[in-house]
Amino acid sequence: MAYQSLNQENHMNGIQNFIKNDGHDLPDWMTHERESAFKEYKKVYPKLSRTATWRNTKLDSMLDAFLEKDFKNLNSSHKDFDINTAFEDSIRIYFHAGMFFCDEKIPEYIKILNHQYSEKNRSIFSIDNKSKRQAIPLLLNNIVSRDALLIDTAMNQHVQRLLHIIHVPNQNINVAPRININLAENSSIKIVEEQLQLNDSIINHCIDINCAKDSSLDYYKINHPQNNSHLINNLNLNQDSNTDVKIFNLDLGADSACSLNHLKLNGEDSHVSCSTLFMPSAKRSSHHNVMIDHLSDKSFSSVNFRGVINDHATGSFFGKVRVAKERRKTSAFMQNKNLLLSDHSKISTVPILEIYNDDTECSHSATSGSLDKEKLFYLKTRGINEYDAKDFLIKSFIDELTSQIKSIRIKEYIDELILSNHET
Amino acid sequence: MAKILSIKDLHVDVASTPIINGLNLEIESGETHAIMGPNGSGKSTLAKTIAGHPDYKIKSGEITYMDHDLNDLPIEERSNLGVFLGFQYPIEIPGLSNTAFLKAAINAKRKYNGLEELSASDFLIDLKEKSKMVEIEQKFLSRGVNEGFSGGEKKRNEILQMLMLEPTLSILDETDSGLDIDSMKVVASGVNAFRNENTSSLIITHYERLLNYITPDYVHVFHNGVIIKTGDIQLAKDLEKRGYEWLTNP
Amino acid sequence: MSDIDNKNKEINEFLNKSYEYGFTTEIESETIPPGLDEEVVTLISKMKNEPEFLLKWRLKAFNHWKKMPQPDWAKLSIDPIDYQAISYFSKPKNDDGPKSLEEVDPKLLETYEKLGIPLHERAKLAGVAVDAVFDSVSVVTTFKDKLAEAGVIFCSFSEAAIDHPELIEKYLGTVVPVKDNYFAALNSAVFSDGTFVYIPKGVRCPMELSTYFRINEAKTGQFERTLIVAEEGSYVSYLEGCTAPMRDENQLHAAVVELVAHKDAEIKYSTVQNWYPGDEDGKGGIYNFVTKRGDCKGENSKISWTQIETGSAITWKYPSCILRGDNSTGEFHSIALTNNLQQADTGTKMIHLGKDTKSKIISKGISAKSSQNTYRGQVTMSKGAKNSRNFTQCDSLLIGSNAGAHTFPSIDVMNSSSILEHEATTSKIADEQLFYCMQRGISEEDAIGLIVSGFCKEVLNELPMEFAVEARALLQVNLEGAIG
Repeated sequence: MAYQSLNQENHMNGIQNFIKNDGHDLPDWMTHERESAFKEYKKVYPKLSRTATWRNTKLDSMLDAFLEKDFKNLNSSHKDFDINTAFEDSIRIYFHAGMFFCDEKIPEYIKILNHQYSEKNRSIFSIDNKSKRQAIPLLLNNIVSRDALLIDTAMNQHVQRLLHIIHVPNQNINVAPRININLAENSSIKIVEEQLQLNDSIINHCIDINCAKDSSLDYYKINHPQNNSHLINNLNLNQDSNTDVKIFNLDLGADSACSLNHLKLNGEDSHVSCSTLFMPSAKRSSHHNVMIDHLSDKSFSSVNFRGVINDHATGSFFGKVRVAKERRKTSAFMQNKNLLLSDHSKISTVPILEIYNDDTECSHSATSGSLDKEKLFYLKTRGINEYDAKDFLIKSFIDELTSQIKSIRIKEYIDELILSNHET
Repeated sequence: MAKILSIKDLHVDVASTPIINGLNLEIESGETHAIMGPNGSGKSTLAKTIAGHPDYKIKSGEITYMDHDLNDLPIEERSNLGVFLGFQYPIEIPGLSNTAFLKAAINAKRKYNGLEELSASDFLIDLKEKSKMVEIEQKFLSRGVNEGFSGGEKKRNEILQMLMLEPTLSILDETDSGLDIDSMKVVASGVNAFRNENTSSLIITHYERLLNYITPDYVHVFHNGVIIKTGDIQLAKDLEKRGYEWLTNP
Repeated sequence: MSDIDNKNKEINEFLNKSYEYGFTTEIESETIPPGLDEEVVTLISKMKNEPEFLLKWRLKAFNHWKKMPQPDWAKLSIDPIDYQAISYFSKPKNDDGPKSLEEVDPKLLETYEKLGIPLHERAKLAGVAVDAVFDSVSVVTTFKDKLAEAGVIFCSFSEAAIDHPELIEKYLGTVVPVKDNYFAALNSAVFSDGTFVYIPKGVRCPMELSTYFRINEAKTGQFERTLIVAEEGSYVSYLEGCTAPMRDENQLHAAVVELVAHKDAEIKYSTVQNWYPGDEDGKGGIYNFVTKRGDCKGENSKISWTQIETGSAITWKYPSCILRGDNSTGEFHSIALTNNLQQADTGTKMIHLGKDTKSKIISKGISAKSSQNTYRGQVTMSKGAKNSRNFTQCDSLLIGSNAGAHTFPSIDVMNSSSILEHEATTSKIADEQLFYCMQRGISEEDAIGLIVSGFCKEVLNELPMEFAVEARALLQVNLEGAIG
């Protein structure tokens, strides 16, 4: 349900106070940016918090918790925690307590802006051309954010080293990481972003991706299970012609985890594939929202979301494909399949097609159910015990999705995470 | 003997690319012509052009079929006049049964020729007999047109349609591709049953295989959109042994 | 002209075919002046000599309706409706109650003839009992004796309110409560007439029941109320078909249909709807805002909706099933065809409450020209609906580059033993399919008709034979010459 908390006024006052208290070391334009974001927030909040986007989410409890967290940046360094070395030869960027940093010489296509935002970076905060469904978290991010990570490849640059962005665990914080990726013409990069386990925190993550023509991006986002924490992931993507973007999300659940993806295909021969595996357990919930706009002829999208929902957990999927009136020869495929592993688990799915011309091929499908009884029976007749048989079927359900990951080491890493999560 | 098809200096573009470049071909009634040639030589383009596919644009030249300038005629009128195209890749039309489809096609032709609609019983008797000839089971006929048919079944279904529609000129576009030997024999016997002094066939094929069962009167070799050599069945046998190289790159 | 232009021209020519059934019948009518307040509601009830409980019920509904806003969630753009400009009651004059067909105003019969419904012939030949509703009051009822023999009650709603008040009081509003939605509340307050069907325990209704609706009086909203109750182990198949004459002003139609199926009972409800859709500029046409819902109350009960929607300027309609009884079954088969500026937002709700319940949804949407065609569906598997199943298939076929097809399914599953599958596709008539048919000598018009019939086959097969023929003809009339 939408946020109907009685302390809506407190909520607004709290934000106002935050802006006042936190702003003393910031440049004026940034304080101004925060204030205008707040003004807009007050305006859109009452309308948008009641829309379908937030149905089935825990927006209200997240917003209630919003002010209780510590906004302050902690002075800490990477030495305080274990370094994740899953990808040895990768370039590692850490995000800890609201700040980005890197422990080696930063390559020139990466820029970290902490506190020293210059006014020329102001456009990072622009919410023009962004979907309304993301307005609430985007504006909140604008209000809280201090740091940004910029990744700007050069023309014809094909980055060979994997870029590994690691969000380091924290206690009781409220952070708003901001990442901007701009791929220049004919460039490419692979990025793995990982959110390690948190306790009692709110992460409101925003990433903007712009792909100039002939560029390609592989982007993996991995969310470890989060304890008593709220996680919102906002992703905005713009693709020019002849681009190829592959997005893979692994969400192992949070008190509430929510992803809002808006993918825009602006150029011919742009291809996007967006896959998500969400596996909430306990009383966690996992919500995924994807909107695809085919704004160009010959644009192609493939959306593949799978949920494995256990215990008392809840999952939901809201997907929308829009094909504009004059856009020819487009193709869109959207699938959401769900496994309910417990009789207390729930799923809600809304796969929408909005098609405004006849020269397009679209399909969607959605399924929900528990493990196939016939398959279980078959496995058991071959001497496999119930536990192993179930395990086998769950893995095959997951593997249908993860097998699309082209990079072997990333796939292996993701498989490992899924396995260890599954066993605990 | 009457002239059935006459093609003079034909030029055809597909998506603004010239595919047929000055083709000449004459087919008289009772004759069977085979067109062979390497992939991409323009064989299928010729078939689609005669049938009137809108993507195939005649730039110059003429195609005359029994005194009609085909270029002027809509697709279905060509069919009603007796031009049949056996498709290389027959289209699936889910939900529309083969029987209903064939009945509509036959009655369209009869109407064009000022005849009354065929009675349901006459139609069914004819259909039963001819489907037996091409070994198509009755139950297939109630399914959607080519829906869920195997490659061989689709091609046999094309021959069934040909037998039912009783065309004057039958163009078979790579009807033999992807067929096992049994299906090919069935297809060949269907085509042979159709042959008589009033009908003509144009068989487009990549291999000589089918021509062992359907003996053509003429064999043409197609290359770059023109006929580069004409002979009889012996030419087909030579091609099978020596490939196309000796003709295309002499 | 390029081929594409030529094609578009042909599409337009065919799509411009005008409405065949656009004519009106000149019959004097008795009409309450436009406007709606408690007095009008009371007047309607009094004119119909209704029992007191019904008047109370109407007034309750009216008071709810006053407080409700008109819903705006559908993907429809609706011109504002002035509810005070509508006349809420009209009935043909000369209403002394014809006892046989001979007594019926010949003009009326003529109208049915023009519509291709030769009443007496059809009634005799097909064995269909026809309760013909002309505007608001039922005029002809046949085959009553035969039905009475079987214990079946088949009469106008007004008669039922007087002759069987206990049944009406027991069931009215139990499936669609007065507060359910804006248009249902309006209907509950002002419904004029409709049909009541009651099938006693163990009876298989000896014939298909059928009612033809037709809107005639200008500015007259039509508010039909249908209630069908099937007692334990009974079966009934009910057919409803409509056409309407040409009008310049939009005409509001807000009907409510309630079905109740007890243990082991089955109700099959079929609709062919071809009301005036407005002209090609979107002028005129019927607003069809209908609430249809069935309650599978008992174990093993079954309710099946089949609808062919080709008419109306705006359609807002979601025939639904509440699967309350264990092992009950709900089905929804739909063809919605829109052309010109027509808008349709239609679909179904399947609410699974009982164990081992099953539902099937087959929806075929065809949109041509600048029309917008939306499927909206809701499937809910509640926690108690163990081992239930749903299968949904919704396909859209687009004809012409300005047409819109939209799919808004919403699925909620709250138990793990239920299995749910949903599939949707959007396609156009492929050029290659047309070429193939035309190569076989079939004209483009006929080819499109054949392809569309093929596309709709699964739904057409659900209709009783005589309706299937009518439905195919309707699709053909609306689609001759269309080009993909």
